[in-house]
Amino acid sequence: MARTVIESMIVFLAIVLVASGHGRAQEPRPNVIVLPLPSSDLSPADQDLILANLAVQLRTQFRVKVLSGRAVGRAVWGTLGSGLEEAGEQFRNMLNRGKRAYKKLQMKKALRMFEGIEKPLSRCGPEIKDPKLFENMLLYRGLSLLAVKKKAEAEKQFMQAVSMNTNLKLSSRKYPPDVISAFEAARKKLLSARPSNLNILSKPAGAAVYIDGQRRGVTPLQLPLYRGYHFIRLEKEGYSPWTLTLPAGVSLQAIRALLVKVWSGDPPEDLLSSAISRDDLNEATKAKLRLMAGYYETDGIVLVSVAREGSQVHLGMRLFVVNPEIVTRARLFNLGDKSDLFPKKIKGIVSTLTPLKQARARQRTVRKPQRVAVAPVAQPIAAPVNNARPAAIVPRLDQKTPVPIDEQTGEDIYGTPWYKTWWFWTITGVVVAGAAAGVTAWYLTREEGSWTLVVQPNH
Amino acid sequence: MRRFYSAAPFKTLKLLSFMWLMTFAACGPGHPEVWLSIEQDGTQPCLGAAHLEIEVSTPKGKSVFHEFNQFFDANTHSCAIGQFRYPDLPLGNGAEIAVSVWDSTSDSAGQLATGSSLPLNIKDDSPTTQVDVTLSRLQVPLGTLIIQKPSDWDSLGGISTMMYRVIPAGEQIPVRSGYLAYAPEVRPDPFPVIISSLPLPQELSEMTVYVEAFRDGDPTAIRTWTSSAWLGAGTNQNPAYVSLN
Repeated sequence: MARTVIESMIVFLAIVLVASGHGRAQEPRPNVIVLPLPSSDLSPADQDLILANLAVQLRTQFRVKVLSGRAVGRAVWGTLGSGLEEAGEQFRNMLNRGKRAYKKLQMKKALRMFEGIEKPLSRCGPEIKDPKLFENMLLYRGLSLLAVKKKAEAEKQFMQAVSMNTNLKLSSRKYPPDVISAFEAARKKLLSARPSNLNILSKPAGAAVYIDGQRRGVTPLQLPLYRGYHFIRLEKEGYSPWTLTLPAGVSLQAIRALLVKVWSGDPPEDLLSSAISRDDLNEATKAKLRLMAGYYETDGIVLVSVAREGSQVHLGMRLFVVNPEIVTRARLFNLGDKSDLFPKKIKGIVSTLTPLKQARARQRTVRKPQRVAVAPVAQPIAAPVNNARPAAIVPRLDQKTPVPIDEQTGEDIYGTPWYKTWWFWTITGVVVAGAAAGVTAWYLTREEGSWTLVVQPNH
Repeated sequence: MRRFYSAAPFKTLKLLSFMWLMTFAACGPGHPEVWLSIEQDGTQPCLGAAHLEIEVSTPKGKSVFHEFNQFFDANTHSCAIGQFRYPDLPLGNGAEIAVSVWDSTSDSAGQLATGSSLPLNIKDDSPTTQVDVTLSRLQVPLGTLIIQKPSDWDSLGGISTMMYRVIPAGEQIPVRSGYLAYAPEVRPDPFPVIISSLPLPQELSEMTVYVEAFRDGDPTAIRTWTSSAWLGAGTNQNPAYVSLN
């Protein structure tokens, strides 16, 4: 009996171990980057939404590690074709025209300028490193509103100005008493509220943090933020700038930003025209993609273009897989005009990238931090052609597998690791319980040992 | 955490699991054998035996096995039992093996000899054990007839029941009569039919043998065979061979 019980326990343990072992991936998961082509006609928020959903669906449907976000595009293209510079120019232009109109007491024109400034601001806000520009925009807009007796709206502008710079005060020599009093009231109102504490982390750490154009320190960083919208920008040499527009009313506790290495060569402009074209990619372009895949240590690149045509948002996609080398044909999809339907449509679109199932993860060098001082790290498959920015070519030794961050929410878009998910432990629990029940049932009903009677011949 | 969830430890665990399973399979429940040796005493227990019944009693129940054949040597009258195997008997303490031999009839007079073993304790790791069972003839006479298959047996079909009568010549009352142990679905050909427990006079005596065949639901015999048989202990005419007409 004791032997039977021991045998049953061994079988039970074996079943549990085998079952738990089966749930784990034996092969490393391929890495894929989603490389957005520059887009100037879609808002950063919409781009973030699309890119984040693409990442989630790629990860869910193909079990790949995904690096996605505008920062990836920025790392490769820089500001090329993004419209950022144009938006910045437009912002400055409209600000100056608004100020001039205010000084000429053309309040309606000034207000029209300041209202129109919001669109370029939403695009280039995080790019602005001069906090005076925000201050001027908000103060002049507030003064203009005050001049047309829109006190409540003027107060909002003043509060926003104080939110961006809590030390801001108006000089009584320069502004009339009623303006001073309105501004101080707004200031007092804003500062009497409790600020939220925002933790800003980055991978790698040590990135300079700009909030509303003002340098506030380096990551990791905790700082108070008062109510209002804010422009956040992280900068580190060799990495693409990471930006986020925090809308008014949205309170985040932490931002974890993944900084993406800047592409070491010139922006591959020829890829812009051929990535989403009907034609197959030529060898030169493929070679560039191979280089890029090697540089970013990725096993696949999803080339993505997002554009707006009228009210409709179009999404173009082409997949490049490194091993085995596969280049799919570019396809164009219409996401419609309702951003809340984007996730559902993107789910279907991503399911068409079936060649991604064949992607095999490349051998990756395991970096050991204690050997930082002596060992060169994993080299790209091939050296980039144009070694224009040496600082960006040599990967940092402390750089780990990138964790993509949803720029919109600051959350890790991988979500919870699978081994910490409820469904994994549910399945494991069911398997273990099933195995236990099976073993118990088997034990209770199993045929015990038997014996054989052999009648011996006696003649 | 990353190291813990790498594939290598799970490969090892899977290998270990596999080895455990293999070990378990190799060391699974045992199947010991008990060799039964059927002995006989001097009472000629097997003379007339056509039906061997082996009953194995264990705490978990009884198993009864039947074999049909001629289990004696017609010349020496000693037992002639071949090898039989009965697997899948339940393990346990106090198992007993009882052996009895019968002639071809189904009535109690047809039980010729019995014997049983001492209780056995059989575990899954028991070594092969030999058990002796000695058969002793019951208080039944030794007169035995071996009735051969009639020539028209194969032309008959659908027989479900067979009866017999053995009547001493000149008498009306049979010394034995009744049913033959006939199971057509298991053993369609019952011959040779052996009828024992017949009185065996010292001198040669004639007996008339009747064998009747019936079909299901028909009380009238579809065929009746008859023949004479001569038995005599002093003339060594035992068993007597009978050819039916």
